[in-house]
Amino acid sequence: MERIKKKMSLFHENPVISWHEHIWYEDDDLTRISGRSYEHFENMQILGFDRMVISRPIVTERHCSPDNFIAANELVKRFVSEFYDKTYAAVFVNPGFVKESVAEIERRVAGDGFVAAKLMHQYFVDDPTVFPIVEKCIDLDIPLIIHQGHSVDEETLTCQPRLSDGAHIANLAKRYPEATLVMAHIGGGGDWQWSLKAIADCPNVFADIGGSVYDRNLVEEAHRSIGPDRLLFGTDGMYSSCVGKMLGAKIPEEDKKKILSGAVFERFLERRG
Amino acid sequence: MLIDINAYCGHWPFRNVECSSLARLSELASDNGITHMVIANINGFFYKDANAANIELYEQLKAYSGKVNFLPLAIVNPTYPGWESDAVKMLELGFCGFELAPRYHGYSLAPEMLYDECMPKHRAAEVLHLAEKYDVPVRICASVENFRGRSRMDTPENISNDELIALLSANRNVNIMITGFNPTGISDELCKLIKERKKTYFDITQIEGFMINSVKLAMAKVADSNFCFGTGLPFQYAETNMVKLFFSKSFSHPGIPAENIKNVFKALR
Repeated sequence: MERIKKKMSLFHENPVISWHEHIWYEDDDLTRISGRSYEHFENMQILGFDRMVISRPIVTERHCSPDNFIAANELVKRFVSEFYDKTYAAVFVNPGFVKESVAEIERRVAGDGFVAAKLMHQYFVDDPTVFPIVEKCIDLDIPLIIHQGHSVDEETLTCQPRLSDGAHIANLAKRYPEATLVMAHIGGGGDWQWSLKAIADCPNVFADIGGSVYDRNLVEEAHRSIGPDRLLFGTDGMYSSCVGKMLGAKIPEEDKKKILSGAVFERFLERRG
Repeated sequence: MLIDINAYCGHWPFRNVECSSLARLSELASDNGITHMVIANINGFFYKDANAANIELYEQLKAYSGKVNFLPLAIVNPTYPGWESDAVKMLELGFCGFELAPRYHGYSLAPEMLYDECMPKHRAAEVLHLAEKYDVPVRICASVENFRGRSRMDTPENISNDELIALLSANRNVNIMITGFNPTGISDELCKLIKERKKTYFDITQIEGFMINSVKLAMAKVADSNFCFGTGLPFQYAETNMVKLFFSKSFSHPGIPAENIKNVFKALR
């Protein structure tokens, strides 16, 4: 117990920002924040997270309507207003509704202080449908967080047939070198080595270490292949997995602190004031 | 005492996990305060004759002088000639139990009709019978790595609820450790069987310690006494399971670190 308590001082004694968190809605009602969201928030306090960037993507609908993504973003806005000193919001959209998505990003960033945009698996991110969303993010100078995974199993391929992986993100990064892209949850399921290799030479692609997969050497390989300046801490709700990855990784302590502090992305948060 | 029931040595062919020696494994474990590790040599999943891997482990153990106490398991392939005498020999050499790897050795956990037999053959049951005779536990690994990112050369599916039912119902007197299984997906039928048979233990490696509702749900379906500590070393970071054990209220049951599993091993009674 003493050993793990000592190791946890990395989280308890240093600034920690998670760039990948969520809240949930109650049953099917997009206007009610679920109690689970508060339980998760409490867990993050126990583990020493100081600040977190939150979104609420709609994952159950392949063709999520503007009404629903707007409602989900409204829910996030309400939650963030309750814990304003600790939380930031990312706006989720479905690029298939391009006009509504671009307008929603504009409104949430300019009007409500959202700090990032988030895409799920409605489209591969190198599909031209997504380009206006990326252009809007460049215009507003916000990072675009992309759900991804190089999954090889039937279940994922059936449920998420347009799930992007590192190669799709690399294609997008090369088309838009001025965009700031985040490859979400390296450990989110799928061949993470494959995705890391794909983005290695794209300096405008960052990655968070989130996800339930806590394979040994995941952080070390990410550190080797893209470096600490392109790595962010995030969990996607998988707290023990991701805290454990950071504690167990054999990388320099200073680099762990750098990743946890999210210093490289601080400017996106400072703008909110 | 902190007992890790889910650990291996050997070479994992799909990814470099930089940990094939007992000395390195011991270092990783003792850095986390782990006192005992139940291990098998993963090479036995891939060798045609699994017992060659057991002999390798035996030789390594003879030369080992690290901090952690290893509780070695012999990987048994009941489709291979001589498996029974090999398994007994390993117990005589100080091994503490057996491990089954049906996905890698190509047999079912349920009775199978073989081409040259007129009656179904239940190979896993034969191993359990031997384990009962010698009063030793059996381990089965439901998954080594997450199924979504596996090599195409690895087994594509985890051990299922139905397969575990076939195994557990084949013999109710043997202690069975099930590692790498996510109990949040446990079926009602399997829960019922576990409650009746007892002597069944899951490790915590596949449960996210802070998903409060799902952990509570999984643990309520069976009993706290069915859960044990495990790390998944060297494939996973040990620290993840240390964080679960000491920071998640869901795993505050005092038996999980050692007491629930201790008496399963003759060496620890």
